[in-house]
Amino acid sequence: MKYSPDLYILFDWGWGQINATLLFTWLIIILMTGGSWWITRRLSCSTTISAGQNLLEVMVQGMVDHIEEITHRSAHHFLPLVGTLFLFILVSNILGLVPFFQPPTGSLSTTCAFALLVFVAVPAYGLTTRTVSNYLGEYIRPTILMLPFNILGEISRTFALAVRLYGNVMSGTVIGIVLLIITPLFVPVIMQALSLLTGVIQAYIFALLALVYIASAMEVEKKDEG
Amino acid sequence: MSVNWFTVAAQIVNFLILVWLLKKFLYQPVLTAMNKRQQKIQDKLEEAATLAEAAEKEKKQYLALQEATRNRGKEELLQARLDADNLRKKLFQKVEAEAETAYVSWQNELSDEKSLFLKQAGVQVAQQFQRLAQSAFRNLADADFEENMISRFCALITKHDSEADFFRQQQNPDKLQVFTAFPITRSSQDAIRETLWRRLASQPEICFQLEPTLIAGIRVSSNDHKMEWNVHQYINDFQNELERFLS
Repeated sequence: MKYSPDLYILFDWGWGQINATLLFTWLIIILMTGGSWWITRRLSCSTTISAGQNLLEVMVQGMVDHIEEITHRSAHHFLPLVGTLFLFILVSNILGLVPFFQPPTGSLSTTCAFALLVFVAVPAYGLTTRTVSNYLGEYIRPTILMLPFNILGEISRTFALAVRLYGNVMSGTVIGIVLLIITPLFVPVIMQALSLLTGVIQAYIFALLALVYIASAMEVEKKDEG
Repeated sequence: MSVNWFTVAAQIVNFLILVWLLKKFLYQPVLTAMNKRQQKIQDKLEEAATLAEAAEKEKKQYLALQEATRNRGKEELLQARLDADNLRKKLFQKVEAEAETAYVSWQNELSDEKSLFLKQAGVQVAQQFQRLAQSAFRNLADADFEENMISRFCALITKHDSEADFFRQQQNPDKLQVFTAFPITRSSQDAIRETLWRRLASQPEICFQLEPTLIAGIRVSSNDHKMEWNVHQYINDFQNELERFLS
């Protein structure tokens, strides 16, 4: 039993490998992009819209409202990153219920990649509203002695972000496989339902935490301005 | 549990591509559509607000017009009442004047009818009295009423001076006319003629004529003067009594 889709190697060039993680990621990308294009190819601006458009608008508007509620800023700058994080993780986790589908979020490489993106995005967004010195000055406040702790905090929260998602998804997959071996009837179904709930929650938590980190990096600037 | 850094890098690229794709095919179209719809709804709301404002304006104009119409109606009603009052007063005065005229006319007609009635009643009474007297004289005293009246007339002319004025005014008249209410005999005519000649001390021509309006009595006239011996005074008294009784 392989616990990570990284272990399913499809092509190996020595310096790089095409594994199940990348394959299923591309599949999800095609699915999400194709689905979005299919629904949005004939969007209506009238008050009468299709069910698919309605679902998309509810989803996008919900994310926009949530982002603006947390950041107290316009959501247009955050929506592509945070929204895509949420949607990708959500779709990936939901598709984990499909037999033989290995969710890319069950790969530590994927969660690390997302965590690294967030790690880079936090100062990037922060520097859109603050100067470099002001931003870096946060690490030595209230005293320079806090510098290692702050750096450690940055790294640890990024690491926690990656491991939390990986652990939840991977554990759900492993428990499902184990239960399928031990009690093939009924119990795995319940666990799959719980796994679905966990997947949705994890998607929400990951996106929310990423948003909170970004918002907090920009929020300081607001206090300085005030 | 290990990290494949090639996979990490590939996933970062994959994710960034997905971000770009979703931004192009999901977020932008959906947000644009939503913004357009919101703008459309906003336009409709603004249009509705404009229409509501126009409706409110029209409502105010209508209310003002209604108020003006109501005020004008009140003024016209007041004017109509004043006109009606004036017309009523005029009609009342006209009716009053007509009633007064009719009353005066009726009073005159009544007075005329009363006078006519009294006159006719007096004549009737006199005629009845004459007939009654004639019958009474004839049946109770075997005498003729007319003859007695003529005798009495002749006696009065001769004995008394009650008719002195009439005879004093007659200075040798050429002609005298004697009117009687009843036909008299030849002898009675001769007696009257003899009496008058004697009283006048002259012998003018004396003509006898029948005059029923005298009822019972004799009238002697010459030129503008006349002398009467009849029941005219009695009839007048009777008419006065009757008039006093009727009023």
